[in-house]
Amino acid sequence: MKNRSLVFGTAKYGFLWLYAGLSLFLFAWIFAGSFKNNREIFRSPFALPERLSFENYIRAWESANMHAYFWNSILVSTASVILTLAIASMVSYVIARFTFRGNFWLWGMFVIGLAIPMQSLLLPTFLKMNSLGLRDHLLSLIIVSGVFALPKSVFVLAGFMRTIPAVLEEAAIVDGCSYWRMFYKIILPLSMPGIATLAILDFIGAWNEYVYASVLISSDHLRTLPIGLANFRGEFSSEYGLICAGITITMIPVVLVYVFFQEQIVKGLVSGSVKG
Amino acid sequence: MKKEQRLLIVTFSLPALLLYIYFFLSPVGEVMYYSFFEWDAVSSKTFVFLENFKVLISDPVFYRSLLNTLHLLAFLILLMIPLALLLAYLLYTEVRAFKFLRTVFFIPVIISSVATALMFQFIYENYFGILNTFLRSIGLGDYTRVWLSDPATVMSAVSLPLVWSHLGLIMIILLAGLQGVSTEVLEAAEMDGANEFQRLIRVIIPMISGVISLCLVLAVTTAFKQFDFILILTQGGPLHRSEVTGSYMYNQGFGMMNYGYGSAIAVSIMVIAVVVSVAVQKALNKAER
Repeated sequence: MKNRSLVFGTAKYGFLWLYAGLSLFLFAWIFAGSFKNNREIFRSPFALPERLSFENYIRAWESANMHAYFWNSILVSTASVILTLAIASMVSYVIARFTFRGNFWLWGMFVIGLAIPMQSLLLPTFLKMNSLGLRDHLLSLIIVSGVFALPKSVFVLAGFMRTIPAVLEEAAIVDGCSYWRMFYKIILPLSMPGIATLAILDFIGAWNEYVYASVLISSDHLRTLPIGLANFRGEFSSEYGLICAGITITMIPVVLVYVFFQEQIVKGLVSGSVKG
Repeated sequence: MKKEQRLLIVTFSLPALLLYIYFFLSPVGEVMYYSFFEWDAVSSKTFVFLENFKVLISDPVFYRSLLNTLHLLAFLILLMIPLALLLAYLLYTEVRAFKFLRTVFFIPVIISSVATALMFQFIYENYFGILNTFLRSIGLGDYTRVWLSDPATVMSAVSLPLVWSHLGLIMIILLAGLQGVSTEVLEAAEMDGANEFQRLIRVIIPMISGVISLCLVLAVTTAFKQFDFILILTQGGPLHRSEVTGSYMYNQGFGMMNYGYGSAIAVSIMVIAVVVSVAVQKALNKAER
């Protein structure tokens, strides 16, 4: 009995750390590469950097324009999250707390969007943004990320708001409280856990969005991090250390977001995919 | 209904509703409309009705792209789900450094697909790439190859980053399912002398079959949604050997300016995605009953 559990324990830790080790090795390889120059990478790909030189980071940030891409990504992700959550929380309040004709259709119209793959709307969206004069404009990315996140956000928020007990609102009505006040004094504060989880997930989604940004943005100074990074291969295709530094810069913010909010992210993703 | 209430319903619904209709629902109609035309976006449209779809059903590249999408799906179902289940089960049996391991498994889920694609490019790189260097260092230099340009290996090479970047999510979902299994059943199985593997196969897997079918649904939608890795790593090449439906639509639309034909591909992606997710959902409901 003892022997068998010892064997299982060894196999268990061996397997877990083998898989973790592969990922960790990959991250370490990229991180080490970001301090190397091409000569070092070619000569000994697995060796540690000869010295701690931040040259690749400085060049990626400044001459390869990553500082501009970084702020564009921050702007697009933040603005689209605010857009989604502002309008989604309002319409979810209506769907969850009022009975009227068409309530179900209003909900169903948003939920049906969950089944439509976002990539299939690439061509018409490109043409629409073009005719609106929004091509090569960050507003187009804010709209795309903001609007395309609506189905999931309305689905989750309306579900969340339905679980809030009606007693509080009934008391508020007796006190002569308006519906608008009820929304931002009672419903919004009570929905905060759901809103916060959505904010984190939508932020990560917008931060990583690549396909739409690659067709809608053409000016260098308007690129977001994913397209900026993808274009590194064209412009700096043989500067491997620089590309490693670019990968590291792109990864750090989302990894930090994960480390700070991991319980919320894990719970949100699990319940989101279980329900969705 | 009071006037105040009606006013609130309208003013609170309108912003989301208008933006959603204009930027989401109307493109769904537009892509169907464009699919009836031959159009390069510069000259005027020619109405060809179903001609694009007729071409599509006899287009060998389209079939190749469907087949490659199924190839991605096979990797997700036969490699990712079993691996995720095994890792979730091992994490579930109380381990040291649980949080650290979970973080390492999960980080690939949240990093940008561009960063993931570039990392895998370093793995596959011909001269100094991790894989070839490793093979050479253990004396298997004959097995090195240009993984992303070799028609025999390219589909597996683009499937692996997909597996790596989605495994963490599937594992977390399975882990949540495992944590819902009552410990009494497991203790009873242990009393009966079942070892860890028997317990996993005979007791645990049947008990979380609902969660496993959910993971199958996610694998299907992930495979049909996927194309940014392929766009970055191979652009569908060499010679369409790694073309998937999404990349084919992209290449027809933005590469060759065949907006009508690209739209017809997009419509078929939409139809396939809706049909498949409804079918899997139906099968899932049936299995639960």
